[in-house]
Amino acid sequence: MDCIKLDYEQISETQIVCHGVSFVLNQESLLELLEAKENQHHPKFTDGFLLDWRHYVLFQANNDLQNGWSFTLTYEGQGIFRTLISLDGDVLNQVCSDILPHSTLYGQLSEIHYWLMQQLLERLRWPRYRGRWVNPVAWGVAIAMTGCIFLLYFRTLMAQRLFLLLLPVSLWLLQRGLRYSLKLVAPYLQGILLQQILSGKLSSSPASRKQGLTYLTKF
Amino acid sequence: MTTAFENLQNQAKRVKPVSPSTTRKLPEQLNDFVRSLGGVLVDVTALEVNTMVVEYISGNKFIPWEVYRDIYPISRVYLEQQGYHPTLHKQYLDLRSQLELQYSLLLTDPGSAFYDSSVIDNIRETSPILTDPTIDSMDLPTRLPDPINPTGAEEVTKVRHLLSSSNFLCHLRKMSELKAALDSRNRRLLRHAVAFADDSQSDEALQNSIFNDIIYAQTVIQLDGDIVNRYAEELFDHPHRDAILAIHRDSLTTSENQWRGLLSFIIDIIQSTIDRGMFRAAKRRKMRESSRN
Repeated sequence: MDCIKLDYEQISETQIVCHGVSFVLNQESLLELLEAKENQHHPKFTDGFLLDWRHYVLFQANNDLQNGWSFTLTYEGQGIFRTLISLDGDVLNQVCSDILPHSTLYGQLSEIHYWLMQQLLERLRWPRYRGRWVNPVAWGVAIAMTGCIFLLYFRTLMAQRLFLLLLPVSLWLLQRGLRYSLKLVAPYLQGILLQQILSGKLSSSPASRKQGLTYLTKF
Repeated sequence: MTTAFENLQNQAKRVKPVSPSTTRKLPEQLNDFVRSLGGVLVDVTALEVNTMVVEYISGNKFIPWEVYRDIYPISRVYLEQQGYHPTLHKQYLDLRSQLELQYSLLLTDPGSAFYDSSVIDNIRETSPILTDPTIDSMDLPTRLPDPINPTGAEEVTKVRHLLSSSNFLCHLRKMSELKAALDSRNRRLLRHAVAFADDSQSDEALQNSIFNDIIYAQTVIQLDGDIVNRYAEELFDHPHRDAILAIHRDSLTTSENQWRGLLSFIIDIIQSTIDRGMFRAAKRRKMRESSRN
């Protein structure tokens, strides 16, 4: 989504600060968004953007928890709306006086401003835990383990070929067992990862926190 | 209005009472997160939505040190010396008083990292701003750490420490916006005064200086469900009164939802870190939703 940007500022050689979210619109993109809203099409965001967005919602520059979020709408280069939401429940809406005489336009712009904020909020949470990775990992480990057993007991298995029939059965049983165990352990691993992002090894810089958030998204 | 707001309050309360044994096991930084979030949320008694008309939208920048440094020196003498428009002096001084008040509240809050028992023991003398509603904070010596002429490294650390408090930053962020609006009004009024002296003022300039950079409408949704609406006097003379009211109404319906969405995301993340798993947090959220329905 090209018209949604995060406002970054490089304040030192190593530090980049995100000041908020900007919706940068022109006549053409406004019409497109109004149409998308009308047809209930949801804007698409890249994984990289969602990562930065989640990072902005959670953290401020100095590794503390975020305490306020800013959303600014600019139309044809001019700031029109700004919403500042504070963690403690204060919401400040600013509207540029120049837009007030143009009732149709401000109606459309405010509609899109709040709709885009809503779209961002809806994409904030991680997709529901699906555990897609569990199955391939369980199969991989089960195949490796069965392979090891085969190599270790190669001679016995070759002598008593009937035992070879047990290999697929043990492979299947191992996979099922591993899958079950991984599903049990996965939420704890997620928690550990989150803890590392918030206060562990992955919390040392915005880059490492983002790396942690990427792992979490893939998880 | 009670439902969603109360549910969020309850959700926040559930984060705070982590059992002492769990708290000890948490890394210090995570503990700080929990403490600062709890510190902010325990003060949340209402959702406040303000709608302001401004001449110019300034962008997203918020640099706490800069804002603190700009509000800290405000005094009657400072305003006179810097040539601020006399009609805005009271509002600038109110802003400075707010800064002092917020710091005094932190000093007297046993849950805050700035708690100073000596202040609360002798609160009438040490922090009369909290006990005497008639007192003018400008007549009192400041308790705030000085960012402009610090006495030493310790004072600079104090400022940095203060500016890392979520609770204080929430207020500072709002003060930053109010100061930006006041500065904008000040610039216009000064321009207008010069133009008036030259007898060349335009109606538009006069209107701008009267109608812009004011909070026109404020709605406070209290925890007990009471809703209080306040409107600025200037709203009734504003040529676009209906438009401002419509914008305020629109923002009211969405603001609560947006604040709730952002806050519950943070609460869930922290809760699931404590619980070691988003799965449990998601389960709990589901249970909450089903009990709400």
